Amino acid sequence: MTEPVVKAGGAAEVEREPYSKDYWDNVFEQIGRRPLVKLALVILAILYGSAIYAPLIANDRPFVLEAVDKQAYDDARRGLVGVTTSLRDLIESGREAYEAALRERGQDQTYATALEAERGALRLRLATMRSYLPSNDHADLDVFQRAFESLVDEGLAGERPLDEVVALRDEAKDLRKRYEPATEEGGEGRVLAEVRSYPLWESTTSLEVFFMVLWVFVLAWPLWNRLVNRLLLRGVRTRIRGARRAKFGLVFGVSLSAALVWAFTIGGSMTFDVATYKDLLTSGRIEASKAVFPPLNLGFAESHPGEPYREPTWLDESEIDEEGYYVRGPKVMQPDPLTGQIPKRRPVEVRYGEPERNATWRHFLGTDILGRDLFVRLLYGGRISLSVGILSTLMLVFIGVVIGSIAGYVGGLTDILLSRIIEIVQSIPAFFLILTCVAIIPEKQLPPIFTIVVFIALVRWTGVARLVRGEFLKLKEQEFVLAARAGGFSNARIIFRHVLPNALGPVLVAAAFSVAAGILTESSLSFLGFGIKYPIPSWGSLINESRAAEHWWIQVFPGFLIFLTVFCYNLVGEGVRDALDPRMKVLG
Amino acid sequence: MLQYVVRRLLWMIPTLIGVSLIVFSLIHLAPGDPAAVQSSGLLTGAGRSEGSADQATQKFRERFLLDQPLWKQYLHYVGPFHLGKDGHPWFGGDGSDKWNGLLVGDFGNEFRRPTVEVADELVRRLEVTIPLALLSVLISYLVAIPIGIFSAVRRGHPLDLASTVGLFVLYAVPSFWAGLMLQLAFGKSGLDWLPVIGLHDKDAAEMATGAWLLDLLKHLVLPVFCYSYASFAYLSRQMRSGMIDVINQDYIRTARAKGLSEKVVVLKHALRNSMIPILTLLASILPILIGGSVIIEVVFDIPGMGKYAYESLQLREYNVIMATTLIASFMTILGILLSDVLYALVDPRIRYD
Repeated sequence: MTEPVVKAGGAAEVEREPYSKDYWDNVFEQIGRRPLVKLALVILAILYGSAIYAPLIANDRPFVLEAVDKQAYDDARRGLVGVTTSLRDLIESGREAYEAALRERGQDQTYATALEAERGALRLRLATMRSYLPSNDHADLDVFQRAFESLVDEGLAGERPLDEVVALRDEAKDLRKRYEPATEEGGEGRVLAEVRSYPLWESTTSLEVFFMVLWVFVLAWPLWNRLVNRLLLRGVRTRIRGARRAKFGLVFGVSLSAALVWAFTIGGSMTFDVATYKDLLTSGRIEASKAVFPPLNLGFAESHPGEPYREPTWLDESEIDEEGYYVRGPKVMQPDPLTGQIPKRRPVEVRYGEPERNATWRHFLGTDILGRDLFVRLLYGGRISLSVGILSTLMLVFIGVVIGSIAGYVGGLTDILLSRIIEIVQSIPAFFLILTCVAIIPEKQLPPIFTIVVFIALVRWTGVARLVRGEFLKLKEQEFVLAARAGGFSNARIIFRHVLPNALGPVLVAAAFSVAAGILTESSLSFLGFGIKYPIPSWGSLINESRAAEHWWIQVFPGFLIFLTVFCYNLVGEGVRDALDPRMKVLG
Repeated sequence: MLQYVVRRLLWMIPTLIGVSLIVFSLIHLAPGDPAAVQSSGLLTGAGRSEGSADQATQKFRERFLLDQPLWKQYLHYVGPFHLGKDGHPWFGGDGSDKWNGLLVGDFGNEFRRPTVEVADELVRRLEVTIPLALLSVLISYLVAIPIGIFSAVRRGHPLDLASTVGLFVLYAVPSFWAGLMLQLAFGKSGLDWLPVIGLHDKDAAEMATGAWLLDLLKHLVLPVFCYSYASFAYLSRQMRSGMIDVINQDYIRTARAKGLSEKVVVLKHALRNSMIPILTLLASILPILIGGSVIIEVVFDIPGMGKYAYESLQLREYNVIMATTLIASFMTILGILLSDVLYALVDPRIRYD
């Protein structure tokens, strides 16, 4: 299919041609008539959007940080002496003694690599220092680096300039003192310049970028689709139909290239970064003039030791006083009946940029046992739950379509054999078998998300296979297939180009329902404690965190999200089925 | 018909062999040795030394043939010959315990409590689960059929709309969440109307029969609702669409034209024919109920087969895992067969040859 070319004046001519609606036109039209289905699609788009954009909505890393990392600077400054000491030790022992000593310990490292490692360590430290120092203040550091590296080179050449190394070490001590940062009182020392960094973006993977860009297109679809149809395609229906594939290609192409660009630029520079920016900012070890956090600056694993199982903060019972005691409600501490003492509590810690202790929005869906915010965990948990549904469905549809088309198209003994296999698999209680498999296979061997997806697919493909087989049996005797066969097309071409597209409707319906079933299965497994476990939660495993009635919010909110998703998928499946076959209409 | 049933029963054998092979090889190939779990947790508990712990592990493995190749373990499990050291003399045993395995009705013993036979325990658990499942099926049908008939006959009535939407919503509720929410609403934390855990009160043993029954009924309300709401939501939707199909048939018009009352037309002419698709759905409800028994029994702490399976998975009780999986598959296949037979019984047009 080629991209439609827009010619001036051509539109009016095409307009007059009679337009016969094709299969997808009918489906879209039918769906467009159902407000409930549209609503379900919008809710699903928002749910998936919130999962995709979770790191941009809630994160403990800032988008932009303009700051002096005093901690890093001081570590680097103090490290200068350490590196020089190591170099002295290396040169003092010399190549033979060093390598012999290592061999005795069973290690296999050469003298040269050890020297190079010291060179690298020094460069790293100096680079950190330079980044915070104004450029006119680098001269001493440059001199020091040159001296250090020439000594390394001499060491590599086999010389042992011991006196010079000792002198260099004194020089390092001197540097350490001279480059002390200025204190607030304005005494002696260096004035450090701020460095701008993008911690959140740097931790974003290109896969995430792909979906983020893709979802911009999906969310804005009603807008750009209408614009393209009106302006570019002049509202001509045959052209709009012709452009469907081009639109798909454009959306995927743009998303994919964005991901690729990301992988080679920002994403490529990603380093292992465990810095707890908020802690450092709170304690003042990072001094920032600008730190832009996402709307919710809480990480999905960020714990608040002062607030375990805290109620949603819009409730009166959640009020906590300065020392960490609840003010009212059942959680107010009573003195111990024997000793008369009140157990100690940890006060609430309000970190950099967080809402204050009793703000309504502090934890508006409550917290879990470690004081992690439930809303943030729900956002990230959606990533697991929703992707399990989609992935398992993709896999089971693939298996089902392949086996179903083989059985339906080839027929004969193959069909009998495959049908028997389908019957056998169908007579296994699916949830029971998936539960057993997922519980038995240890997490170390396969990540549980993978196990769940695979076993759901392996047990549940039979429905799709039967559907596809039935459609193939029905379609393969029809004229257009016979014509294709008479035309001498290969079997593969007939299957993929002629029969399969016509059998796709029912498969689509089954897919919608099986996404819902997949999400239900995953959450049930996780709820039983056999599925997804820490640290990244899924909706089911969140419910499993506490079954006590007094922690009701942990059970209510994740469950509601599961219900909402499943409900929407059922609505969509039902809607598409009605659109394909109005006789089956149940709702609306 | 009889021939058909016999053939279907024979087909069960390869299916069950398939299931047992899959699960057996899975649990034995997956790392995580029950011998290690058991001996570290229980056998060394009484302050034994390292050496004796190793010895105990070794004894444990020998006793349950865990040190043998997989095929031998499987044959030992299926039976009928005992293949261990004290097994049948044909296979090098000393003959003190000749027979073993599924074929002689032996599901083995629990690891944790070696004197408890899995088969006995399973019967005790099934005595809880099967009545519960049957009760739920019964209730699902009893609720679904009237709702379905009403919605079909009074299409477009506000109550039809309400029930259709309500059942559609209900169908999407995850059963474990429904259980938790019901516990919150009706338990001590909410209205405090019903007990939310177990099947009996602690002092049930001393109750008079009437009080005992009442207590049991109170305990059953929530679990049975959780068991059955998804199936009756599904069933009544099917009932409605089946009934609508039938009502539009010619013979219903004829019946009306004859001047029969609406009641007779619906209950006598339409109902029987619209029951056919509903009956076959039994086959698809049963596996859902059996799978659901794990969740419901864990949520409501009911000592049935589902809970047994759940506990055994946590403790890696190989014999129990095998037994519960096989029983669940067996019940599912039986359910499918039953619904096929029922189908033929209600619809004389259907014949199995």
